[in-house]
Amino acid sequence: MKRVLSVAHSPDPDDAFMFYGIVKGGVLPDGWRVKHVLKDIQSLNRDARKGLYEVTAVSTAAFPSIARKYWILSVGASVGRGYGPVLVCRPENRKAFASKNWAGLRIATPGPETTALLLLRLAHPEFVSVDTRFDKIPDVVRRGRADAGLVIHESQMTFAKQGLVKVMDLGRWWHNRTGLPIPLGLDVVRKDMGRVEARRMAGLLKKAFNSPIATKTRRCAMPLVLAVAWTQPWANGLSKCR
Amino acid sequence: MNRDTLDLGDEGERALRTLFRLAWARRLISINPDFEIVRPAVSG
Repeated sequence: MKRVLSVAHSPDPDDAFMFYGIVKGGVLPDGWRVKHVLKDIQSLNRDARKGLYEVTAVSTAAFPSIARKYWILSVGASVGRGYGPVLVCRPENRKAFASKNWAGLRIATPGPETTALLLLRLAHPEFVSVDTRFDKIPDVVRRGRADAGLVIHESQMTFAKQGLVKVMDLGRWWHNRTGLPIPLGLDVVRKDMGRVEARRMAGLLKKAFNSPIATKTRRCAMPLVLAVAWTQPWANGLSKCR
Repeated sequence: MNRDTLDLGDEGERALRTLFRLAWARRLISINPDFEIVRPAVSG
């Protein structure tokens, strides 16, 4: 009987690329079968509190609430160096954010436990957060249902096409304040796997993350082009060239 | 994906501790967690 390993990540190209080797086979040893779960990051944060998956992506901001159940893996983190979640608004609203007082301003955010929201609260404690699914945020702002929106994933690169302008980049703000990169997301492993298995899992994930880009140097069955194609359904308006 | 994805490293760990400390000081998170980072076994 095969051992089932539950692996969960969000439906975005970065995660899909990273987990390609695990999900499509070729990295896990014989005798293992993957249960692959795709959910938005806020749902993954909630599921992690229940300890549903052995390996899961979570927001860094959600880690304190799951620290008793999970260890952080050294591999798989999503880290911004001088860039990060971007606060965007319609051009006519930009003046409202020039003031230090944001009390009463409504900002569409990707969820209460996301690192993006935590960073924005650190930078500007006073505003009204409007929970919004991450891929709907640009549209919510464009339609005037929020004064601004906190965009993550591909929308960080595509918001201008929707007529929105940048208010601030929280990755840059964080770097200016601390001189450090910002760990936005983490991969974590459930503690009940035990340390030995957890370390083994870290090794397998590292191998999986390397595998799509190592086809020539390692005898690996997963060419880069297949891994990139695998990510496209979640690319949200990005072309393959980006 | 960048080098941090393959290894969070000491700087990444410092960034985590800084983020949790600042967030905890403002009571934006429930605890300032004492965490451990699991790295691949040497043979991994």
